[in-house]
Amino acid sequence: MYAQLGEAVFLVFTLKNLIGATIGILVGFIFGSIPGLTGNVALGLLVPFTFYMDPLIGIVTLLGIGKGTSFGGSVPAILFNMPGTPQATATAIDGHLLTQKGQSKKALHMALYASVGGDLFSDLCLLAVAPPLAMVALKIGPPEYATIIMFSLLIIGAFVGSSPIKGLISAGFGLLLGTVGLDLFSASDRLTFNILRLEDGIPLIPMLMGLLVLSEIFLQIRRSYMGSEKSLNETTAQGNKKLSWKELKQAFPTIFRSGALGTFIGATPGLGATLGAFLAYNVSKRIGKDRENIGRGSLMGVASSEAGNSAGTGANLIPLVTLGIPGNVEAALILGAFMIHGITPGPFLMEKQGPLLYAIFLSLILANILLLALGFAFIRVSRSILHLDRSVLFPIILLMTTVGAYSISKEFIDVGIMFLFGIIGYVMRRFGFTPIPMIIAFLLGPLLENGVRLSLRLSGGDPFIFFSRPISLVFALLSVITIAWMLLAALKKRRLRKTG
Amino acid sequence: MKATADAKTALFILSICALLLFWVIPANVEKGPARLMPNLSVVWVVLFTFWLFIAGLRGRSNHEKEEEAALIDKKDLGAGESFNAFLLFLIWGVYIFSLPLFGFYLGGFLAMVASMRTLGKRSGKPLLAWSLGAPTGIYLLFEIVLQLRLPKGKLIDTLFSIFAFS
Repeated sequence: MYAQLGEAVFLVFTLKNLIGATIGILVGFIFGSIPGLTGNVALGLLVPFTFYMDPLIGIVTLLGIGKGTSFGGSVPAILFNMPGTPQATATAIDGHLLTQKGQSKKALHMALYASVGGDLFSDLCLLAVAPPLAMVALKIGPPEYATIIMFSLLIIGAFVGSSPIKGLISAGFGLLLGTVGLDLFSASDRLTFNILRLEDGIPLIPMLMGLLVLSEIFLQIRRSYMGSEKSLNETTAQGNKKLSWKELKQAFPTIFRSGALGTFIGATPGLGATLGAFLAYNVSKRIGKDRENIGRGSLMGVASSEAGNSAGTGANLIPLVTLGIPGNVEAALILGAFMIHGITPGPFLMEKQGPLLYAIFLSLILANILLLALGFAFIRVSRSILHLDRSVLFPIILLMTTVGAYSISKEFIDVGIMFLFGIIGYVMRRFGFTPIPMIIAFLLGPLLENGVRLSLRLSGGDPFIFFSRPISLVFALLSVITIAWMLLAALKKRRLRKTG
Repeated sequence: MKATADAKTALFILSICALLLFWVIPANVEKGPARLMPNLSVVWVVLFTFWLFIAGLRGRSNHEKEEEAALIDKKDLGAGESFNAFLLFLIWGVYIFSLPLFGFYLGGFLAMVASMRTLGKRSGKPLLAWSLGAPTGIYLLFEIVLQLRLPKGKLIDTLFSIFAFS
């Protein structure tokens, strides 16, 4: 481990790596601060470009985007009560109240320190937890792997998005899309409709760009942000008081506690940063310092929600690098970046690409330091970014997506596939279906199929193999419990509605 | 009992699943273990869609309520956004399917002009500047920095060959 860590240090401290992280953070700031344009859009847009980069630099750039977005989203939340990203919603509660009290600078600085603190905590956990967890993961066989993936898909489908049932339907379609291409075992064509390009499966990047970027832009145009523009002009003046050392020191326990909670939530597949932020915020409101003022404009409220949501960034890499399971869409996009470089995340990654993996972990810590430095500069220029004209921005993004989709394989069909998935994503969102479980299921589908079919081969076709081993039995039972819990929750809701 | 939008959506998905199970998968996947996963995926969708259908018959979902609220917002803000989204779909659809003819640069310029006008940018100079600037930026990034040749389209290639011969 130490030898690999030593090798990694040399990989991390290069000018190109620093530039990659800086670009990622800056792009993340911009996309995070524009409401509606989340980090997913930025990641989806930039994933194809990483194909032309060194794997480490490409992945670090994408991780930088995640970090930049996480803090970028809190700026409009604090200044204008307009969260740039969903996870910044909890920050807006106390942050904007502080702005109204003329303490916006204090709130922004606290958000930055908490964001960096929470993120750093989760990165250190990743560094400490991932290697031993990967060693354990190496010992699991196909039945265990299949049941773990099945459970993860159920959790992701049920928790990502507003409707668990719709999330699970979306995941089901993702599994089906994952079967397109040559069969893993017999190499026969499956659902390719005699299209040669589909023999390797549906191209991942055009699909991601269509479902995430294109559909988001069309949805944004439909919804229009005219209301938000109005609120920008109505905002109160920025305060100039800086955060004192004493105030920061008082927030340390809150940042630590919220970072730990955010890390736990972030490491659990399907539970996103938004939940981490609200959970950390609620815990601080119950047991934290200055709890009586949280919700009325308290720096502790800002610190807890920001540390809670930022901690998820590093933590969601834990299931990705140890088991190859992307817990959320950001991790799925990063998995896409790994895959276009021919790297397969999972238990063997630590064995085969140890130095690269440690370099990624160390780069995350380095990116946090950069985030702190760039964050102060961003606070100064944030207002002008918030006023970017969408009638210019959206067409530029659309143009970039088409070029990006073409650039990987240099085939026009990929641009068409992206457009098709753009329409599918738009229709899905219009009817309340989130495409995120579909993407994750698409990525995990082949792994699940491999696990299921290998297990059935091992058992001679007996499905009880999934219940005969302790780990697979636990995850199979957890899957059953998840569905039962969903059913009970639906029945309870119905009963509540009946009683009025 | 009045069917909600969720129930109607569920019925639509169930009909797609029937098509997949009884026609698309049998016609496009060979018999045997290769069919296991496609069939299981569709069964997964059917089970949860049936659940959605039952829930949809009982009451309106949160999403429908949100949509209704969004429509009220839209009325306050001024209509036309749905039409704009449709127009943009059309513009970028035409751009994508005419890429072999117009290429990324000419096609990109035309699509930029059309979509910026659709989104309300009508004054000449900024419209022209951004529409020319974006494909130029892409040219610099892809052709100069990344050394990747993007297709210029048959139209430009033909024009070049005519000028080259003359």
